[in-house]
Amino acid sequence: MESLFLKLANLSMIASWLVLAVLLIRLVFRKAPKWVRCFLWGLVALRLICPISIESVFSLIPSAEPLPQDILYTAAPEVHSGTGAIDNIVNPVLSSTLSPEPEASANPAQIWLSVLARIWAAGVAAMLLYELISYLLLKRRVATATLLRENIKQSESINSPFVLGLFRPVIYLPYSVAEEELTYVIAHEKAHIRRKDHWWKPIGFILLAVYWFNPLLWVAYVLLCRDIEAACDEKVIREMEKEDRRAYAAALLHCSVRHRVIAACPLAFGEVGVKARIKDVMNYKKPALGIVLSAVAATIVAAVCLLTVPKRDVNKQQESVVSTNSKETIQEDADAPYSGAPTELIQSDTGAANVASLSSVGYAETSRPYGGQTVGGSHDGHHSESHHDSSHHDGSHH
Amino acid sequence: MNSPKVFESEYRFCLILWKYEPINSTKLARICKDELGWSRTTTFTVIRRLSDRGVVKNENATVTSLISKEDIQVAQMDEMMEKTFEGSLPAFIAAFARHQELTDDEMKEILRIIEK
Repeated sequence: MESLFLKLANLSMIASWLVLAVLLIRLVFRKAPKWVRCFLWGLVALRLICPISIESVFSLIPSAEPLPQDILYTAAPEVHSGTGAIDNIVNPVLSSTLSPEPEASANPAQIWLSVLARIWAAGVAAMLLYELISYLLLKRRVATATLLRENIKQSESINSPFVLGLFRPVIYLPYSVAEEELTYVIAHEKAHIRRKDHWWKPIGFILLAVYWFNPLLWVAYVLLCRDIEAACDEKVIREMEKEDRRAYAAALLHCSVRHRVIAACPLAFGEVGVKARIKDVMNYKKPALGIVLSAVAATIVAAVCLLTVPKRDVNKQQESVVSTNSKETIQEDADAPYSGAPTELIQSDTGAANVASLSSVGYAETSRPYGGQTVGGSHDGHHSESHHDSSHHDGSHH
Repeated sequence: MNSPKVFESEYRFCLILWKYEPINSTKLARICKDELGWSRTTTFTVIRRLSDRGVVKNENATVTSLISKEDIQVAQMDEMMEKTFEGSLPAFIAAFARHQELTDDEMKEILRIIEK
């Protein structure tokens, strides 16, 4: 479980960069159609689900593995966040608190990780359990809902309309929805079903449950819900005239109720950010082709740069250092001239590594030095410097 | 004594019951499935709930109603009077008249019924 947790923590850190980019794109391309935003969140989900990373020179991710898998076993646990500044702050703290004692049977990093992994698992279980119970309670509440037509039911025990059900989605409406508003509400919920939102939202929540420790992902989920609603609004009013839109906005207003923010199952009509939605509905204008194209282009750029990870050196050295004795390792530098300090060639395990270091000048790939016993502070500086250079190199190599 | 309260969904169930009573509970469940979209379990639960409240009677799998449609309608109106018109009959009549555009004769007729 610990290695799974480590892998997930790494994935979520990588995904966080993508989330930040999505937030930026959302801000810059405000006028773009809302489905673009949903698609962007889909990219984030993809990143979180897919354990395999494609390597590319275009990747802007600073580090593919900020928490190395061998952090448990090395004599000097450290992170490779990809930015020298963070590494310089975090790693000395880590090495002073987590360096294993020669006599101890388990090194502190293992103990810490084990505790954290268990806390994580408990969190996941708690969230999924909460969701399951909410769903069951809701199903019970709408058991006596009466059929209106097709897959639409009405109930007195609910306050706002929503869709429930994965394979046979049912639209639930309160009895209190007025006759005139019925068409709009139903149109909105039907749009949800057509867009498969009754699948996306639960999937998003499950991802949130797994990655609950990352606050950026909570932001992402809340915004995802808002964007889903807004995209549905757009889908409905795209073909409507101004008067119809006014009636739609009025229906939105009547159905707005106070609610708990995180509710995975119901796709409620009046739940999320009503004021913003009404504004968007009334001010809706078909977006210009230019805006759509540039938003899509930005999405593609974000996908290429942030769904991929930087290339690793083919000759990467894996050091599983035992906690007792220190072993000096090869420091592989991409470009010796850049680092400003001489490449340190101490003892090498393999001749190949030697050769690689020597010929590393002008190498197309960037190297990824692995954790090993450090010899004084300069090594750390070395570490982070080469990382810094790696990201610079990505730009200059092609 | 006031009629017991029925929720909207239960009222629709009663509408079916009044139409078909006395009726075997299984048959009733099937009709509810068609017209209301209720599962068998739900129908039986509702029958049990309503019989606890004295609205229907379920004997030997035959379901009959204990309260008539008119009783329920009066109860609904009482509740509406209390809630919407704060118990004020004149307010209700005024709203009703405004909404319905009654003729003078109709108004007189209504007032006569009320004053009975």
